[in-house]
Amino acid sequence: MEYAAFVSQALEQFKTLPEETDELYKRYFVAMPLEAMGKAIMEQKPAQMSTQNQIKEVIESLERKFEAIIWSNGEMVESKNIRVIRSRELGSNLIEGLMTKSSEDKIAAFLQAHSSRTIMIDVPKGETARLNVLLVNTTSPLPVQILVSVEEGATLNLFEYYTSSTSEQSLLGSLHEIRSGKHSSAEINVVHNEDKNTLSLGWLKAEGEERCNLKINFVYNGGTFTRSRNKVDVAGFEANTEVNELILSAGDQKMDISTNITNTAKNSNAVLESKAVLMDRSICLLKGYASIMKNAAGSRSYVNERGIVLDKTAHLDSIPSMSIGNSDVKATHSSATAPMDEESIFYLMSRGASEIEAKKMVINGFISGIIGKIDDVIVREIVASIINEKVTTKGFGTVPKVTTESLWLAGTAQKSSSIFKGHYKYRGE
Amino acid sequence: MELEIKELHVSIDEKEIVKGVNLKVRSGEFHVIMGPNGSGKSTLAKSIMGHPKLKVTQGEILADGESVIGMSADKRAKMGIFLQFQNPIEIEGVGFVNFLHTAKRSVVQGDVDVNQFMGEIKQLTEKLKITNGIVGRSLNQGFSGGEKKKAEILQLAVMKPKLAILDEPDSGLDIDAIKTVAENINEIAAKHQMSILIITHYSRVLSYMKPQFVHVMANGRIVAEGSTELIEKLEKDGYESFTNKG
Repeated sequence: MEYAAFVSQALEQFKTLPEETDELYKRYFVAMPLEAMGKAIMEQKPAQMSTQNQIKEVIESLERKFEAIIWSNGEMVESKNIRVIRSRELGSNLIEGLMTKSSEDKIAAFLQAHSSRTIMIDVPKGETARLNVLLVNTTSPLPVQILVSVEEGATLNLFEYYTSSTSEQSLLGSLHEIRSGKHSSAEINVVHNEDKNTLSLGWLKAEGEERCNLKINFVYNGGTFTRSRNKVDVAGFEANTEVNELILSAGDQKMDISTNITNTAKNSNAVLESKAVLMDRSICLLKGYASIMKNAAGSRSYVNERGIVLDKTAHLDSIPSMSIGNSDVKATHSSATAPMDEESIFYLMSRGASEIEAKKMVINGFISGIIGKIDDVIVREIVASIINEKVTTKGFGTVPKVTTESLWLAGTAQKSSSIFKGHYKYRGE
Repeated sequence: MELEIKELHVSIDEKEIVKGVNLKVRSGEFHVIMGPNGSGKSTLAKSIMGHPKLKVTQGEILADGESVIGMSADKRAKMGIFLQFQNPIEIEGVGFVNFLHTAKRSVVQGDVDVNQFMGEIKQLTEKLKITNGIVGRSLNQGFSGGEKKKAEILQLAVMKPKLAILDEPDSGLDIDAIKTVAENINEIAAKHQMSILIITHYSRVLSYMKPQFVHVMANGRIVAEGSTELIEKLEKDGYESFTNKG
């Protein structure tokens, strides 16, 4: 399909997403600084020698075997469940078209159409797979499409770790399409820890079929600008889906995260839980949208967005919203944002913790509920270490020093089944 | 630890709460401050611990002869000052045992053997009759009023300070729990030769304890001082006769 035709089609598709036409959302829209960053971010450049070292360093630090390593100029795959298909390379004429018609969603559409590679992850019927994918953004752009298929009765635990090795501004784009088949079980952990030179775009579409258990955990920690659009359809009878988002921003980081959960089948459950910690001058727009379709009787939906803003110069807009098309459902949405509680800090300091230790404890406690939802203990350890680094030094994108010290954070995870306990039953018109 | 407070004035948001308090607690002594609501007892306690919102406008707080004014709360804790909170703060996600371990490490300023520490916690929870698995929960979250107070005393026992300021250790406790808490405070204080300063409205908890000095606080000042006879007088006459003096 020609680029122009694709963009046109994609834009039509975007118009159907309620959050893209929401007036409140439009008011707080975070503009992507693509023009300011210049064309350089889209140019193909020779591989940097440091990329291999970066990969080696990350693997050693994370103490994790990666079944697939994808970087801007190459890849390595060692798994029967993963295949990489090369698509056409980025062409300069297409980039020109993109730059002149600067429209935010065209960029995502563009990435979807022109991903240089497609990673296909497939877990056949009844099988179990534990897969780790390392994605390294270098000076050249890395737009990839990741297709995940967990077939009937299969189990997948997927860990995607995004890092960068670039001395210049560069673009990372990841576009997911995930299908969790009947009676399947999948946990997908997407951890972003790119450096300040990376502009990150994400677009995810997932669908959960009958009686599946699909859990997607996002950690947004790296990148100078992150824009992520996620759409999860709970499309099967008694299907369970859960999306957990953890956002940590410092310095001048900008995060624009929008997630849409939709119940389209009877007795289906959808949970969206987001927690954000903002420091310095960082900005975050956090949008959680839940919709329950007319034919989704007996279904349950829960959206909860919470944030701590540490500095007066940081800015968080959290906008939860719901659209309910059936009266026989349970639905809740909530949002709360506050500065750091001074009484909590004093209490911890009165027990000998320094101010920074006390703040770390409060932040870690705040986000522990989300970290605790990561079933993979090693991933939990990695995430806790990244967060520890961020809260201590405000740094991101570096190779994390993984320790087990923060693992106790995971002790207070709330099971999604208990989230709905006591929630009111919606009685629509 | 010897605590000496000289002509202390403390304000919050430009409003003076403590209006010239003088108090001396010598090493190993047991003092009690009684007084009606709003008399400035808790503000005095928090100012000794170094609450950042409280401004010492005049006077001095000396711990073993060293001024603590301007010192952060964690440094005061490391010196050996402990404040049991009247309303302990609930902190989501911070595991109680991990918090205790961190607190212990902070005050001893070194490593604490985990196995030995867990053994100590087990013994102390049994002594304090702490049930319902609060040690496995987040700090003070979902604790009953009684559990919160017992958890504070557990922290006192773990941290072993030189000076313990106990702000209403009895409020919210049933009769049996008051006795348990009081007996544990007595034992901990005696074992570690702590200086104790208890703040309370009621004399019930003091029937299980033996304070040496009693101070009555009203309107931001100490308006009466004496021994345990003063408690009997308070029981008989109430705070009103003292309030007028303030």
